[in-house]
Amino acid sequence: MTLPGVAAGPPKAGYDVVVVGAGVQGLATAYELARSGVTDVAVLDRSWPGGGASGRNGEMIRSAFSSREWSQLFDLSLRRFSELSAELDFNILFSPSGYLVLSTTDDELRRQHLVAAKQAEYGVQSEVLDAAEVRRLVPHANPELARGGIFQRRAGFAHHDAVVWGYLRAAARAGVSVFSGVDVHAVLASGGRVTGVRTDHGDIAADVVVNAAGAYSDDLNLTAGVRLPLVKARLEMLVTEPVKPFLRCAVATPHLLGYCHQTARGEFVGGTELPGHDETDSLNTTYHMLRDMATKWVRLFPDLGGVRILRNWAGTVSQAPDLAPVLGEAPGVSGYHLSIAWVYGFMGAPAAGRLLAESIVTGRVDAVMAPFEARRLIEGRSIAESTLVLTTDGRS
Amino acid sequence: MTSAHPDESVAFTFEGRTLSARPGQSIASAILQSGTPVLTRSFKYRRPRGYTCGYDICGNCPVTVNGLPGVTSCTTPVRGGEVVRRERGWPSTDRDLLRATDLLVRFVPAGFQFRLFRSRPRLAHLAEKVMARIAGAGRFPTPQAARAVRTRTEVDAADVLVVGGGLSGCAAALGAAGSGSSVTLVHPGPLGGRANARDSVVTYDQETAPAAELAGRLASAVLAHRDIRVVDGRVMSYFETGLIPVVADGLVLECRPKHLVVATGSYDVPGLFPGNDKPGVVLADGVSRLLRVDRVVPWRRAVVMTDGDRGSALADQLERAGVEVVAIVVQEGVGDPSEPRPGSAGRQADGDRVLRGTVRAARGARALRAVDVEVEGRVRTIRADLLCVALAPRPANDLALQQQYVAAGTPQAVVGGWAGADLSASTPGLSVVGSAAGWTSEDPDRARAVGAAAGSGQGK
Repeated sequence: MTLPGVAAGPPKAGYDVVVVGAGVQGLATAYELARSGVTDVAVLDRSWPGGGASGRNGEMIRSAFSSREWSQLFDLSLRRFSELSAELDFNILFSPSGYLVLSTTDDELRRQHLVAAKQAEYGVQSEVLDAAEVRRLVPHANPELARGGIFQRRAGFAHHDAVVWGYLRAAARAGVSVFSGVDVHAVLASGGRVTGVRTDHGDIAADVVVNAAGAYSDDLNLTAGVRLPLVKARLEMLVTEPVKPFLRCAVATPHLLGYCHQTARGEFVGGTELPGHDETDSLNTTYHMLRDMATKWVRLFPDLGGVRILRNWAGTVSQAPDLAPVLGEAPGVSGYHLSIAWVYGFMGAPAAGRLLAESIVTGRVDAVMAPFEARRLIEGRSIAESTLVLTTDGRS
Repeated sequence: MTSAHPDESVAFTFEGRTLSARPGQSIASAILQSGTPVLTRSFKYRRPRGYTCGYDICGNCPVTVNGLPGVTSCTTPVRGGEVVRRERGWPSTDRDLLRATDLLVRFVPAGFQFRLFRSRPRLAHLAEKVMARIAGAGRFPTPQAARAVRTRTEVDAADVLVVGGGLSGCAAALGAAGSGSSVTLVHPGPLGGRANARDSVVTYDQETAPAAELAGRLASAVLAHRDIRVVDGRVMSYFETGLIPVVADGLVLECRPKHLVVATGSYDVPGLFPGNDKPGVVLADGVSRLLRVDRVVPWRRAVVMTDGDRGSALADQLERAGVEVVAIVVQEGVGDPSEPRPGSAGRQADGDRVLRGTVRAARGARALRAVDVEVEGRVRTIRADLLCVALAPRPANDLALQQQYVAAGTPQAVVGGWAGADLSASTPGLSVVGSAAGWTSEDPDRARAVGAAAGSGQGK
């Protein structure tokens, strides 16, 4: 069975650009390359398009972060999300219903005022809500946990599969070849220049190779001799049976290490995390995470206890110590570009795809992308971002 | 808990009307009895859906009970005093104006939401809000409803976990307990399962008896056994390290058995024809359950569709309940035509109402009114308010398959690779018995022997 947009037959012996990974990063980058006139592009995936974290994430979108770097990158993404349906000729069900980062203590709420002031400085509009305003916005939330929060009105969520399908079809229309079931074993380089990739379908030559391999991106880097301090992390989510709308906006709660929203179908979708990271390379779900999610979400929305869980799933990512993505050409291997270490990858893909494609085509690195280059990790610098729903494990 | 006087009827409120039921009768059967065939609507095209499978498999009967959405009405007994309402449809589930989406299906094909208002972001957002109102199912639970389903957690230390309490499951539990193991048996609802509604004759322990009678005897033996704990609940999932949580009323039981016996029976398979989801098209075990367990006869004229020997048994049950069976359609082109299934030619007694042909369509606006049957190239329309679909069932071996996937470490491994495999032969600590293992006839003696081997630590 061939998916619309997926090429039939084996790949050619060579391309101008080979993108490894047909997730949202790889497809967005390939689409943007084709848009700038580079159409001899192959996207190779060992599984199906969007089969990894692109189809397993919380599909939430915001640009109100505490750091300039994150805010600017993700604000470009947010703007792209609002124009993507028209551009890709595919309704990605982007819902600008708002994104609330919940404060569960008054202390936390006080800090939010400082964060909001910074956001205003970066040109990102957000509002600090007090307890009463949060209760009006999220009436079913436990008032003990809803002390206030930062609300970004034009943020929200989109249908993650639709975004993958939209990019896939648009890229294919523009001439990109997307291959499913092609496993890339190594990046080939010679004299500090990339020459192609080695696959289970033979070697494929390329002037440019883009690593967008998600959880497996570090394994791929090592074959090219690129060493970055990345670790794998396993995350889980759950979805309930559909109910009538009770939660309009996306909600993240650093206190519970959780993020959630209700889809247009009526399902409540949420993920939580435990301190530390789980490096198990397995897509099996675990009972302890199911319990953690169920317990925390019922704490935040007490009446959710009466809604049945439909299913739960796991996904894997690779992440950097500062949890920020790594974007741009790899140090030491020219022609080898990275769009990896994504933890907020779905949210960042439209911006990253555009900026990375631009840098590949023009050789110039945009100021918004520059801070995310791999150099920071080699030099031991990190991007300090304080509003992430993730534990940094004391590693940053 | 049912009432102390089993013959007294209990009452509940259904959308403002008071309905009565025998204690223990299912909510769906009481609603059907009151003359309401539509229990819900399909998600997008709002097609009417009604009682279909009888065993919480098909998803066609969720209702809201006392403010709790998504309650399976075909298996949930009436206790008395409930407030029940249906969940989908506007202005009502019976007459849903949004049914127009199905009639206009040419304009709203599958995936139409991805084509709507692509270049009109404002309209797209508005449409998405409207979709959210229409979609969903029940309303968000009331605080009282949510409180009522709170659970506590308990660890279960039994050696053997038997999942499924039909004839095979009960026999396996008795076998395992008989060889000295502690046993937990998980089963939703009354022990005996589908056997409680069947008329077939089964031999067990050198005695031959009707399945329902034997089910009663095995159930009593299981309940009386001091080493068997019976839990009215369902397994959540199979997790790594062999953890199998069980959800029961007010309780989550964490089981980590040395041996798992899967006795989860079989699924009825739907027929493939237009209108196969119409209220009045009911799967065979659902029909039997309504007639024999709920003791409700909401039909007058039936067509039975079969690909083997189940058709005659269902026709008998229906006739004994006073339903006129106007045709038994023996499907052609199902399975290997060179090897007719036993009974597929129809019995002498069934006479000329046996039609060798194919069901082409189920007709009717809100519920079944007629069945189109093609015989020798000609389509006949037969009036009926029940189409009983009695096809060869499929093993319900999900839990055993899940165990294999968890062991493999990825849900992407070996998709479909275990179909038809004898899982108990290859996996230590796992046995599959009865129709879940694909056994073609009831064999509780064999299930007991498998249970005994599991209980003595010798089961593979």
